[in-house]
Amino acid sequence: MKNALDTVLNWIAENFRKDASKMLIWTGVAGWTLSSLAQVGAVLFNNNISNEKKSFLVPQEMADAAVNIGSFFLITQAAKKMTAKLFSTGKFAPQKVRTYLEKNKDLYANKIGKLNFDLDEVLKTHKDFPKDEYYACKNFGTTIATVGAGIVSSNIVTPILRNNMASKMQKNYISKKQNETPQVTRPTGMRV
Amino acid sequence: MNIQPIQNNDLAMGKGPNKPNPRSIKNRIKQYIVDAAPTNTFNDGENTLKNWIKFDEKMSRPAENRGVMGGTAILLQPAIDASNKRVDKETRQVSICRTIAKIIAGTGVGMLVRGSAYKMVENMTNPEAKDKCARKLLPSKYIEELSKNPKLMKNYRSALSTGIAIAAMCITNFALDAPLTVFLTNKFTAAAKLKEGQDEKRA
Repeated sequence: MKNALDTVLNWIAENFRKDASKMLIWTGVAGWTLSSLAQVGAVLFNNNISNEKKSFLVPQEMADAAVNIGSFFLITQAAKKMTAKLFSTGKFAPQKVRTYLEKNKDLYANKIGKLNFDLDEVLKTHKDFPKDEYYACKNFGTTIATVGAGIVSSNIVTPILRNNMASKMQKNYISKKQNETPQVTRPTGMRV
Repeated sequence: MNIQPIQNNDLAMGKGPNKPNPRSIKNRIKQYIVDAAPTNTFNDGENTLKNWIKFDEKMSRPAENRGVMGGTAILLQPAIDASNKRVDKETRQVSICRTIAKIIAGTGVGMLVRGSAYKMVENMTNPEAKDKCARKLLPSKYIEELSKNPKLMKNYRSALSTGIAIAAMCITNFALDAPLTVFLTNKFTAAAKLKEGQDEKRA
């Protein structure tokens, strides 16, 4: 048991000690999926909700998970990576880093803002680079971007899209139910 | 007979490592965004630096992060549900009540589970502690490396606590979240119907 635990802990350290983001992404996806399954079950077994309302709420819940996962990659991850890129290409920088780049204009002036320029690589080889200020500012910026984009994706884009999708599915359900109801044929009236 | 493995990779063939293709659509879009963004320089005084680090540490914690998402969710999602005129009034009402119930249940349970997992991992990954229990969740092969580098330790703790939280959520989603959501949905729906009845009587 002790060895099994140690194996798992070593595996986590090996794969995620340098970058925990992949673990966070996949556990996020797993979390949304699990939550959706539980909530779908909760709606289906809730006797206080009519079938007609369930025909909206169940697709709404499933669409919620699907759209959340999709918009997480399209919006949240994209915002995080772009913000990190703006910092690593020197487009966004704290004052000390800007001063360093201007002091070494001949080396860096033409490279700032180019995708193949990476300050994370520069600081590995230049000991005088203001590493602490760079990382503090970059981490702050990417955290703000990630949280902001997460709010937009989970709390604005997802509810709007999931409501659209669920409304269409409820409309189809209602019209299908109306078509299945046998039509009442009026008996021909007798002329008096 | 001396059989050598066939080397097909670029490095073995004398070519340099792969460089990202600047003309690919993805990189062209990235370059366009970087070009469009104005060059920004941020004041990095001592207090500002401390605040940046403090903010990043707080928001990186799973419970706080979940709390912010839940807080903004309750402000935005019910309003979006209320504006959905594609469904009838009753469905809209139930949808709003269920959304509020789900946010309260999900945020409450989520913060509890994630916060507890993170606290437990923090307390059980202390390389300097003498108590064996306080070192229980440290990986034997990486103790020295993690204890020398706080950033690596932070990533490790974050990954481990998230993994533990997900394992716990396999149970809590079904045992706590869902039943609590049902309970709150029914309460809110009943309260909404009562209020509607009272409003109609007054009218």
